This record gives sequence, C-alpha cells and structure tokens, in this order.
Amino acid sequence: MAAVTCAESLFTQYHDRLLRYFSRAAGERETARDLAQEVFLRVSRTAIPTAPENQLAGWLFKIARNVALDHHRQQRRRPETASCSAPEDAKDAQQEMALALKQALATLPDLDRDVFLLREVSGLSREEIATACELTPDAVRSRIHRTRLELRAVLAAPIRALRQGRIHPIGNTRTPR
Amino acid sequence: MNPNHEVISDFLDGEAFEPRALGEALADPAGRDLLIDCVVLRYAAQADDSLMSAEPRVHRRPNRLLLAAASVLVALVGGYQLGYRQARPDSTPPAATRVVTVDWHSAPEESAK
Repeated sequence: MAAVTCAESLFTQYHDRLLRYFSRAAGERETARDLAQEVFLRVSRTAIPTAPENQLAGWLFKIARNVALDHHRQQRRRPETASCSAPEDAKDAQQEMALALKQALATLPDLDRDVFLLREVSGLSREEIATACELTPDAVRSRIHRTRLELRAVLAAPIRALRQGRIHPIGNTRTPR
Repeated sequence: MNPNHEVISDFLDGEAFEPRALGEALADPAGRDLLIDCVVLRYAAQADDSLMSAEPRVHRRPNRLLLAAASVLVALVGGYQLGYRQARPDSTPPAATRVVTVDWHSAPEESAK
C-alpha cells in the first residue's frame, strides 16, 4: 500500500469518512464539519508518521477520537446547549430508526460507540480500529459483536419496522470492508 | 450472547471466517435473525444524513449585511436615475431673455488709449 505523507492527501482521502464518523458521534452535521477541520488542524501541527495506509488510518482516527472525546467533555460541561435539539419528531420508519439510533448511541460508553461507528460508518478494519482505540484486534472483534447485540436489543422495535419495508441502497457511502 | 454467532460479525466485517461455522450459525433461526438485524443496523448507521437526519433543520436568517448592501445599491441606482432624468438636456434651447451687443472692432483701440 502506498504511504500517505502529506496532510493534503490525508484530507482528500479521509475527509468523508471522518465527516460520517463525527456526524454520528456528535449528532450534528455542522459540528461534524468543525470537528473534521480540527482533526486536520491537529494533523498539520504534527509530523505524519511514515506508515502504510492501514496504519495511517488508525493513527488519524485516534486523533479523531480524541477530538470527539474533547467535544463530548465540552458538551457535558454545557448541558443547556446539548439539550437544544430535544424536540424531534419521527415521520416514518427510517426517521424513527434514525432518532432511536442517535439516542442509543448517546447512551453507549464512549469506547463501544467509537468501535461501532469506526466499523459501521467509517469502514475501518479491525486492525485500524485497534490502532485508533488502543485495543487488540480480538478485543475489537468481541466489542463490535457485543455492541451490535446491545443496539439490536435497544432498537428492536425500529429494526422490526424497517424489516417490514424495503431497504434501499445507501447512496454516497463507502461500503465497509 | 451466543458465542457461535460471532462468526456472523466476522462475515459482516469482511474478516476471516470459517464457512462451516457460518453455515451452522445460519442454520439456527436466531442466527439468521441476527444477520438480518445487523444488516438493518448497518443500513441505519450508514444511511445518508439527509435521509436519516435526526437533527433539527436550521432555518437560516437572511444575511443582514447582504440586505443592507442591496438597499444601498438600490438607493444609489435610484438616485442616479432620478438625477439623470432631472438634469437631462432638452432638445430646444431656452429663449433668450437679454441680448448683449459687443463692438469688438473698436474696443481694443479704446482700451489701448
């Protein structure tokens, strides 16, 4: 695999995946954009390690996790801003699922949420997630499986509703490996 | 948590798995249900934000600065047009109110004296 050595190519290669991760982790698209910018700001201040792409992804998402954790800490200190988006109405099964998933993700421990999102939303491999979260690949494996089971139990009703309908292809989203 | 079902996660994640173990897991109705639920869960997690958006839509206010600039521009153009119409030269010259006659042949001699 080719080594990625400049911040610009990192930005091009990972911006969308970071944005998707932050959209789910932070819950708002505007915030996600700001947080993705913050990641590249931090990257620009540090030396990019010379490493194969799969290790570099882990390194980059480790920074992203720290940015997300900082953001969550700030949000906890300011509960009034976090509760601004309280009134939300679901119109159909998909939106109901979106709301329920957002709430369920918010109740998960940070590490479980991140492992799940890095896998399902950003499409990182277990090895990359292990680097990003400072876990072993085996720990990532069991954590992903356990988190899936937890979310499945919490989201049983909206999952059932979605299973009654039709699943359309997901547009503009990279399929996880 | 059925440990035999972890192979379903392996399969979903594109990691190495034993086909025989996957076959056994999927022979169990609970295993098949888990696979479908995990696929639905993945779909929900990956779905486009515009489709699955759970965040309130932000209704942006019109940019006040832009409105002010537009108002100034309209005022300037309007003022120019008004001034142009009022100052526009007429095709017929105004009638003379007084005629001044100058004898320019004798005037330099008289002034030289």
